[in-house]
Amino acid sequence: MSNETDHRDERLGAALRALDQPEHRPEFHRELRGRLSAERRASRRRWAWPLAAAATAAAVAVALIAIGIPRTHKTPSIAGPQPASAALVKSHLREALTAMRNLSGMLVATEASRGTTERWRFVLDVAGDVRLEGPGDGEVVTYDSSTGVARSIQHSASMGGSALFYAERTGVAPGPPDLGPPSWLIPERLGAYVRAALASRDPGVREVTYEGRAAWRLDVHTVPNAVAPELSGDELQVTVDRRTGMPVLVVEQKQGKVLRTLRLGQLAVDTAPAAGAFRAQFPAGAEVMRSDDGFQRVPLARAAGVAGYRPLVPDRVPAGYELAEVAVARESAPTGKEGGNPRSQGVVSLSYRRGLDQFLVTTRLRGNGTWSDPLASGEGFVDHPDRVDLPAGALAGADAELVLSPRALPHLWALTDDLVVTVGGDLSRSELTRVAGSLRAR
Amino acid sequence: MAEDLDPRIVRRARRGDQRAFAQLVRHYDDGLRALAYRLLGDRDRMDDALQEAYVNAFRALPGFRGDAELATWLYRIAYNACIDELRRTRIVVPLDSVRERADPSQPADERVAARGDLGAALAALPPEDRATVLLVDAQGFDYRSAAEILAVPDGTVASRLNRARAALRRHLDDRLEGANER
Repeated sequence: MSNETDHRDERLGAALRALDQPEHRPEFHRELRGRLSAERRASRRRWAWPLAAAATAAAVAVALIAIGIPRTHKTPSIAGPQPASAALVKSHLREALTAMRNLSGMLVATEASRGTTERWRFVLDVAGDVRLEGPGDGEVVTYDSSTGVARSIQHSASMGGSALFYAERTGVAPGPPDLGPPSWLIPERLGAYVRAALASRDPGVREVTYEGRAAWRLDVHTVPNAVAPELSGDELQVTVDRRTGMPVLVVEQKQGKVLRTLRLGQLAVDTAPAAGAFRAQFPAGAEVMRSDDGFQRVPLARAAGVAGYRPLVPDRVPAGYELAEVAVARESAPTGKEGGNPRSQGVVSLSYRRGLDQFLVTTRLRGNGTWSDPLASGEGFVDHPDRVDLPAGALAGADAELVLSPRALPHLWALTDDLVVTVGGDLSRSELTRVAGSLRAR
Repeated sequence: MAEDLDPRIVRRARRGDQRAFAQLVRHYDDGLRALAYRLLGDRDRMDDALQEAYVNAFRALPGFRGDAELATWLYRIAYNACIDELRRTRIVVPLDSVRERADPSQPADERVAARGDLGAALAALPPEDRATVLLVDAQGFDYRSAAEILAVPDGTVASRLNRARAALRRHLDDRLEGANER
């Protein structure tokens, strides 16, 4: 007779053991050997400066506790609020953003402190094309990813009045860290909130009703801006429609008081945009201010000829991602916090897309200047990068840092002897390191 | 559950011997893969979680005091890595990726009918119940060790097992009845 407290169901156990399980991917053990070697090197460094390491760890721990950054993946994590629900909501959110071909709707932004409400009608598609109409009458911003041309028709914020001004930017970069398309509102402002929800490891989850529909609400703690703390919140509430997985309402709060809300409505997925929707038309005779950001679209094989070196290209990208654009600039604007880096030379920007998700791999010549993180959070926000030892690829042995922070684009950046390299976008921690570890000169 | 590992290999691995650690990984990898795959439902996520687990174990091994069984200790690290992976990404297990090993003596149409059913029933359980039934019934851990791995009281292991077995046995019984009717 079996011990009741240690009873096993042998028949069930045998059936469970008969279930198939896959072998590791072919490169698993090679990758593991590389990571263990890196760990041994890091371990030697740690033992060489135990007091410094302990002090740093303590400082980082205090800082993390003080500012409420979510736990790292190394933190023991058995306990925690409703992990399954949080993961499920985040899964729906990510799937909604990756499955669609285009998305249109209305975004309503309310600033509580100013008592203002602005509305934009928007259309986005998976190629990166954008059309925004609003907030004023006749105001339109478009971006055509196939040509790298952005156009705007807007009132002057400084001059006021009803006159419309016309501008065209050519040679626009595909995206960060270089100044990308003027699609700041939807992918960047809303995207930042959604990324914050996705990046947070332990968002609280509640089942709520939003405009009569079943929804989830993710409560994400975030870090107020250090320079202007009164202007940024300490909590984001992201409401996700349960049926579609789309974010429909974002509320940014500070100590329980609403600072601003973003509301998405009239959403339509996979409709056919009107012809020419992504190229605003200027009236005949309009005076157009023109500028060139310096990026040209080229086939990958021609990138080296323009940049002057063989660009780094990932051997592996996560399932579903495809190379959508290759843009090269001989020279472009400085990157980094408040543009504090040297002016960029020989930039190659590779844009990969999967639905509305995007990530970019960029390289630029290092030169003699001093570099900081090209994708750092804006002034006033503090990032806490993880040092990463990449065991393989062109970045093996390079100084690399990984940043997963609610206020920053998830990214990894590295300095080689000659290049400044970034991998940033809608990627998880392991995807970032895997992509970065597979970079090779081509 | 895997047999105990040669203590000399463990001692060498604790001193940072990478080859010894590789032996340790090989010794436990089958069971850990089974647990990770059934929790995560995807080979890439399984591999990501186990890479984290093995690196974490390699880092922590010099401090392993032997108070716990090595297997229990390693499974706990791997389970934590899987839970982190679930939290960080998704918990939806793609049912079409869950397959039972085909029995060549079974007629093809029965194999097709049975395929995926137990895997699907398992995948439908909450991850903590899934882990519990896999650890105890499939991998042979006793309740106390399973409780250590899952960081829950022994009684919680028992109640999770009751729930999981009730759901999965129903499926097994259905299959048996179906086979008898044929």
